[in-house]
Amino acid sequence: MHRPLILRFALALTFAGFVLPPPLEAQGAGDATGEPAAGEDAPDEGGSEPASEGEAETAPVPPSVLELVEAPWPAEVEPGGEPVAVLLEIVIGIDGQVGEAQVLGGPEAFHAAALAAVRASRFAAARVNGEPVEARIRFEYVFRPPPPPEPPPPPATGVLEGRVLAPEADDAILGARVLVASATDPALEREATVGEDGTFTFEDLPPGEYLVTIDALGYAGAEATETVVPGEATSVVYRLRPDAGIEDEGGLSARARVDPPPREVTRRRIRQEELTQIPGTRGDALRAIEILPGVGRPPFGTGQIIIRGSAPNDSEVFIEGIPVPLLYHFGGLTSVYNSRLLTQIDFIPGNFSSRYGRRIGGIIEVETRDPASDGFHGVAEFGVIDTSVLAEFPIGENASMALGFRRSLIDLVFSSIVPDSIGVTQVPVYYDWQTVLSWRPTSKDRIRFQHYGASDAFELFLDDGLGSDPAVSGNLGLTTRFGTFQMGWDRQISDDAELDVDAAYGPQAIDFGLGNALNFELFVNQFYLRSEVRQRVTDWYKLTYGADLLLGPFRVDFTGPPQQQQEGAGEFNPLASADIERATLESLAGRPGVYIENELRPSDDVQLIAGVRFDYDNRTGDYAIDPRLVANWDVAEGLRLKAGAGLYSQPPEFNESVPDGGNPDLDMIHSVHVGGGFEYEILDGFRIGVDGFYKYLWDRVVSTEGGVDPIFTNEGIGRIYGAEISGKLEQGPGRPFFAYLSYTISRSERRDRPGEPWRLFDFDQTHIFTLSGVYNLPKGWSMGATMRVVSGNPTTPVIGGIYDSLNNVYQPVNGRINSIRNPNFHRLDFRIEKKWVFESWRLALFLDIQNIYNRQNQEGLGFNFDYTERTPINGLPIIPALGIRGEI
Amino acid sequence: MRRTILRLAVPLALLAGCGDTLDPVSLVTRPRVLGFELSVEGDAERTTPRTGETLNLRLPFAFPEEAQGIDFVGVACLGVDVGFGVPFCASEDSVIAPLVSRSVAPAFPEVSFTVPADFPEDAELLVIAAACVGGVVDPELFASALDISSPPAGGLVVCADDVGTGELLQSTIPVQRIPDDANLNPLPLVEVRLDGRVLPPDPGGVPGTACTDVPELPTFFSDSGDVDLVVESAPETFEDYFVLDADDQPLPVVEALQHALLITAGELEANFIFTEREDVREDTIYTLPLIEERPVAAEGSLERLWFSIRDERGGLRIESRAYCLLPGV
Repeated sequence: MHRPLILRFALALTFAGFVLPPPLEAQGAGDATGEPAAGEDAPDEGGSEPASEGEAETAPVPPSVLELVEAPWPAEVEPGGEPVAVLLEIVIGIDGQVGEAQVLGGPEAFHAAALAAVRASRFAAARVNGEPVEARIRFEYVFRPPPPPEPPPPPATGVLEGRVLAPEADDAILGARVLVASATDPALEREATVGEDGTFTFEDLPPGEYLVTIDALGYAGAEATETVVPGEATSVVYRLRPDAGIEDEGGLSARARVDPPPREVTRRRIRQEELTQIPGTRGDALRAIEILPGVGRPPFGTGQIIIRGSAPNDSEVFIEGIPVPLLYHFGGLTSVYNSRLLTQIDFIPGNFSSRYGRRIGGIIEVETRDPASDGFHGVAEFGVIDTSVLAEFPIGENASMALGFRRSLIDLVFSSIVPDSIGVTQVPVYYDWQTVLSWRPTSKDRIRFQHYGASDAFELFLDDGLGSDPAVSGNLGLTTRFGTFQMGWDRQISDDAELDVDAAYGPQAIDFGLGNALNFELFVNQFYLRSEVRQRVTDWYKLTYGADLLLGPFRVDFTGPPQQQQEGAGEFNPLASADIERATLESLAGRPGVYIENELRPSDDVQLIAGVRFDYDNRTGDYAIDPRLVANWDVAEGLRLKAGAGLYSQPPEFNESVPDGGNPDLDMIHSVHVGGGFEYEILDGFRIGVDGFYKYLWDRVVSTEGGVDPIFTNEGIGRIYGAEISGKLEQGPGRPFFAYLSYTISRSERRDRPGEPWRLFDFDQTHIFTLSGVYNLPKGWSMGATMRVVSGNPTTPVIGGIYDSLNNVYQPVNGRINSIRNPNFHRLDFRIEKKWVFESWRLALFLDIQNIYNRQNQEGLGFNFDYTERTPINGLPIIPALGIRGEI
Repeated sequence: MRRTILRLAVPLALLAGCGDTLDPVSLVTRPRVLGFELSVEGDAERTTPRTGETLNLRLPFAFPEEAQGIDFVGVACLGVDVGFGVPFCASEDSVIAPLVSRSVAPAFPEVSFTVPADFPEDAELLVIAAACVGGVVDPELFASALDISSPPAGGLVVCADDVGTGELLQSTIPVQRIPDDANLNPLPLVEVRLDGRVLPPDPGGVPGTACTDVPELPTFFSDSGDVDLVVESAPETFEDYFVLDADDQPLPVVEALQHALLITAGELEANFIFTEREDVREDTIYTLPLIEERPVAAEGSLERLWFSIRDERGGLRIESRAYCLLPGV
């Protein structure tokens, strides 16, 4: 490997009594092998060399090199930049062979190699009077360092790897044959057979599109087109359906490519394969976000989204770019969208893109999939909490459709679990539905129609005079309904440009009432439009721009106590002590927004995203211009540094800015997000990340003291800071399990009025620790658990009660707001599932147990009539949910 | 709105049995305040003073045993019209009159003050007070109770040295602005029946003491289970008055009466009964005491029921009834 090139060698002749000849540098200087330099004659093999013509017979002729043997560069010596010389003393016999040899100088590591090389070399003997004589000379053997290795050529190929699995069970289909054929080179075909773990790998594939064909005995074949990118690994998962005698050209339910660089500082993604397996969620994908760093724990499992210490209303959930009015049904046990129609959920806890506006908290983006186009498929699930059905089928060549419906079953048992003193007028019932029609009229267009919605309703009858508040009597009811018709059009305008247009329209209604004292009815016909163009201008510059519009005539009928700030309010007054007000408001909410985002890549490793967003709110007449900046730097293989900063704005809630009971002169709420951190792939499939964040809020809407005019002001401020650690172990070849680890430490504080002290936010949770994992066992079994440990929510001590003589009720006297905490929360959820695969259908039986050791987690305090006694109010007890699911 | 619904989750969870049982509101186990009885000087049944008139306030209590002396300290002031929370005086200068009643002997506090002639048209008339039964009101209390922006961390201690049973009180006093806007105290109850038997006017006496020697008291037995408790109001007690609707137009309405019930023993299904002009008779279920909860000697135990009847406009009438509880057979 080491090529000992001699730059120069010199013979320092020391014939006894002879004069020193000139160095023989020229003899070997041009040739590493010791061949004579050009223009020189090779001496005779016999080792003698005739004297030159005209040369005096008596003139001594020094020995010369006939063949110099290369000595290897010693392996134990790191090659440096300079040559290394070893000075030898050698005796060259009359036959030109080296006799004695010894080292006079030079690095010891080179001695042996130099001696061996010089002994194996051949010389022409020295001559005196034309006769060969033995000569003792000094010989400098020079080692030249080997040249640095040639840099490997840039990868011109990519990798296609993946797994072939049975549907749902994650069992490998042993012996499945995978064939890849280049779409451009008919001669390029490869084939592989998957191993016991279901994996296959095609390395060194030239870039381009490939047709992938999968065949397996007993399963319908499947085809897919995949793109191989130089230097990247495209990872895919194919799930084959059992062969039912139907030509099956699809069969894959999820596909994952190497992630493109994110547009946000922190974007966390849960993929479809894992979404429905998280223990404690009963397979509900949208509840899986609870395991991610930065996600707080809502009390009583109410399903509120608490992201990085922000109020629930400060964050937004989008389905295909459209805000969802309601994410969860009653109690937060179930989301309103069928999880089997989702592909992935992206969670962006802060520093989100300019694409998103009108929110100062975080963003959750839900992506849905196209219905199956390879024949009829159906799923029916029956559980203790609810039951659902889903059907998918193709319509013609280029379209497919899905229909889903779910209904709760709580009503079957609810009446038996409420106390006799509470009559049940309307048992809690919820249902939701989804209709999805996907159509690809051309190769460049995809049009998606969706109609989805949900309805929740319950009503209880509270006997007159129940409890200590005389106003709490009559019917207690809550009804929420919404239906959204949504259309999305994606078009490939050119090779470098894409257009997305999404529009949604639908009514939303909330009706909440408690006897005659409290009633809130909201009806909105909401229209939402979003249009976005993404254009690759050059290799290093990508431009995204778009606009969105939220438009909705709404009507509010309100009966109840005067409005007040809901967060940080302490213990509320009883209704009996309030002056009941009545208000009706009809108005139009219009909130247009435009945004532009520039993605720059000054080098392959660096990505800069600079965006700005403009929002206007017609209710307050206020507007906001919010610049945002994100930078990502791939420092090394698997290591990315990231940072971002930006402004975010949010209009006040409708009820806060109404003229009757609110303050129409409010301004938008503002926030600055600063974040940074790194992600590092420690091992293949095991990533960790650390993020730090800081948020400052101003112009928060707060109540005036006692709710005096103008009732609400923008005097509130807030600050939130913390750090998140995340670990994710992905399921992969030879690893039939996945796990999520997240830990968040943070502090979220508010100050409501100038001069007041800072206080904790209602849902400030100092420590949030979650560990969740699922192991896929052989024979269709899977088992997993989720452990969560969270600091207790702050709460306000009630230091006494004051008797309201006019209304015969005690009012609480609050201590310092949120100055004490509930005890720490902890809970273990467990899930086990068994799947069977039959010839034409599949069956699964699962048990999902929430709070398996029935921890009595305190969520608040209850008080006696005059606040002299209190008792802890505990959250949800153990909830075992047994379910069965069948699929065709 | 979501937060409002969430707020109700705690009391609903309590109702649904997710917390321990707390001291029931209707059972008198310690001295309980019944509310300010208001009467205008010279027009005893009227509760709404006009400017320049003197208002008398009486503060009756319900006692589970012997009555005790009550120390009362308060102020009448010009209050801030708060939308929520505990009302407070507009400023130190807004105090109209101090209200003090100190009695070691068993007697209900009675105080009075005159509404200033220049009392502002749209201002709130507020009374804030503290009462200590069996002790003395802590002189340090009042400043902190008025200053709700910086409440004491250790809680409010009403009675000095924590001796006695303390109560903080407040009441907004409706001031009569126009002549026909007067409000009168409710009339006495027409009738109270327990298990179909009329409960006569309360003869007095200390709860828990022997009662078989009081012939007018009806007798009931321990462990006898549920009985009907019926109250009947006089139809003429329900006054007509006006409220302003959403468009600030006067809307005629008729009073409804709230009957808050307190008992010395037993259990009530409802703590409040509501009667209206069209429905003057209402009932609830009264569960007679269990012997293990209310030990009764052969001489019986005098048990009392209090009815605080409110028109929610400032009018209040306190009535009580009693019966004699005998050991179950």
